[in-house]
Amino acid sequence: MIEVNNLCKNYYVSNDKGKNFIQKMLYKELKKVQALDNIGFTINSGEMVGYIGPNGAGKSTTIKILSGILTPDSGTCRINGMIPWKEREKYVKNIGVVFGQRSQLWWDLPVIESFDLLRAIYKVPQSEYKKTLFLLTDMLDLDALINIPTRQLSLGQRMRCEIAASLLHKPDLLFLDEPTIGLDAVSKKSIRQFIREINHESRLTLLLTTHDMQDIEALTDRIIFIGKGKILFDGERELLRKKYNKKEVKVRCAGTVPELIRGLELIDFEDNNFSIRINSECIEEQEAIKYLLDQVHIVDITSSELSTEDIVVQMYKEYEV
Amino acid sequence: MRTFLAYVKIGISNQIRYKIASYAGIAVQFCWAVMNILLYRAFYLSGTNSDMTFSQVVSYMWLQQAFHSLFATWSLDGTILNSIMSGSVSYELCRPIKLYQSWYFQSVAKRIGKTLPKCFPILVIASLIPGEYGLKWEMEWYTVIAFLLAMLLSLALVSSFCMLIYIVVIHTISPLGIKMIMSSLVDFMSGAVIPLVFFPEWMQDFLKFSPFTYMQNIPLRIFSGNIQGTQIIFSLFMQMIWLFIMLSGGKLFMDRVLRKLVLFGG
Repeated sequence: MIEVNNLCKNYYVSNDKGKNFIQKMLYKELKKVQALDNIGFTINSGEMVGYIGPNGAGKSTTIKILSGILTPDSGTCRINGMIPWKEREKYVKNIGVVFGQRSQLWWDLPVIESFDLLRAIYKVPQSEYKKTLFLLTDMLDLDALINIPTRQLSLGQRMRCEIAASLLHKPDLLFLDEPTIGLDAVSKKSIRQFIREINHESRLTLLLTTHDMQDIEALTDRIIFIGKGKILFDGERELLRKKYNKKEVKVRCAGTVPELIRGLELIDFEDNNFSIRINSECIEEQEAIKYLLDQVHIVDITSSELSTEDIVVQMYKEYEV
Repeated sequence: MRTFLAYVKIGISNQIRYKIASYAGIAVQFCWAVMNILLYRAFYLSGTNSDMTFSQVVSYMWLQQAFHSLFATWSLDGTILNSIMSGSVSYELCRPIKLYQSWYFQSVAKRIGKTLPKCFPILVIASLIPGEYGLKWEMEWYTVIAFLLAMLLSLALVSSFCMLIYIVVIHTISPLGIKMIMSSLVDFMSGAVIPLVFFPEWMQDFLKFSPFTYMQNIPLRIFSGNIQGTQIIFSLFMQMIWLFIMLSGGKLFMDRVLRKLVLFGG
């Protein structure tokens, strides 16, 4: 459904470094910033993909190119058999976009009036529009909201309306650019729930950028990881977990420190208490605990796994992005 | 057309959200008209020989204030300028409608929305004023048609001119400079400050072929009976030509700007 190959995009930012006031007034120097450097991926119909990377990695640029707003410098991209920036008006009929940091609703007007305008712009037939609107208000719990002016809604309420606004014309492809930015836990959860439902019910293809790893964990199986304009990883989230995750078992004991056999590591020691980390590569966890039970009094055993968040931090470090 | 009506509808309801601003607008426009009329009375008392009679000037002034928001060149649509500065224009670019079209609809709709609540009270009050200070409705049926046609063309022309400014702002990002130049220059040349008949002859000859003359001057002069017959036909013709030039130029210009568009942030 989405096919992207060798996409490149450069930005030029003005560079005033080392110039005095008069020089600044007279001319400007431009510095090239490579936002996208040979990006390529394929997304199938009905798939939900998480697009992650640090700030400034090129996530939003990609979304803007895929939604036909920006023209790339080079590379190809075919979505639904169309090139987004070439046939913009025709292409965007079938996509929905949510920019978490911007608003598409009229600030002073009740939300429903913005919806009506969108209906006219997308030329959705009245009967179909009513059906979709009913469905969306039901799923997103908008009944009480759509007659209130946008400026009087809370951020979470507004975001629910924004998402509904992007789905009124029943797109089969939805781009979500940081849809949960700035929301509280409850709103985030209800939005995730809704996205899952709608993907399940209408086989909507979804590309989601976010910094919230819980979004990724709750929604997507596949991750595309981008840094400094390059794709660094593209695949199953589980694969990443296997690669980076080291299960860690810590045993807290009381008494004197026994002789440490291979695979055991003393991590802190204080009065009569000490903790031992079990390295599961060298010794079976069961065996280690058995050994410790014989030697000392065990107070507590904790086992922890790296969260996706930790994995991403590790990836940022490894790739130096 | 449906899309356009939807824009007009949302434009009007957006405008009447601020009722007090509308009421204040009526009062301001009313005072301006009265001030202008008194000013010209002083001129006429001291004796001038211009092409325009005093009662024509009075009608011109009333009408100008009643339809002020419809034709004011400097009244740029703040929503559009903001969307350029903040980058929200990206939302408009993912709609199945040309950006030129949606902005054009939006700005025409906003002008209509601003004018509708204001023009009727002013027109009614001005018509009720007796004597030479009142608004005179002395038109033949063909001038009524010509007047309505000229109004439509003026609205279309002013909006298409403002589109050029928006497109320049996509380039410069800040609207301040161009807004200042345009508001003073164009207002002057379109007869919004002084009716064009009072300009020196050489300048009138020059302005006859500029687009500015045709922005708000024509419908007001048709209404007040200052231009008649073939002059009306010539003016309407010029309005159409300039409208065509502005629209096609704007569209061309817009396509070029959008290809090089850069949107930062988010």
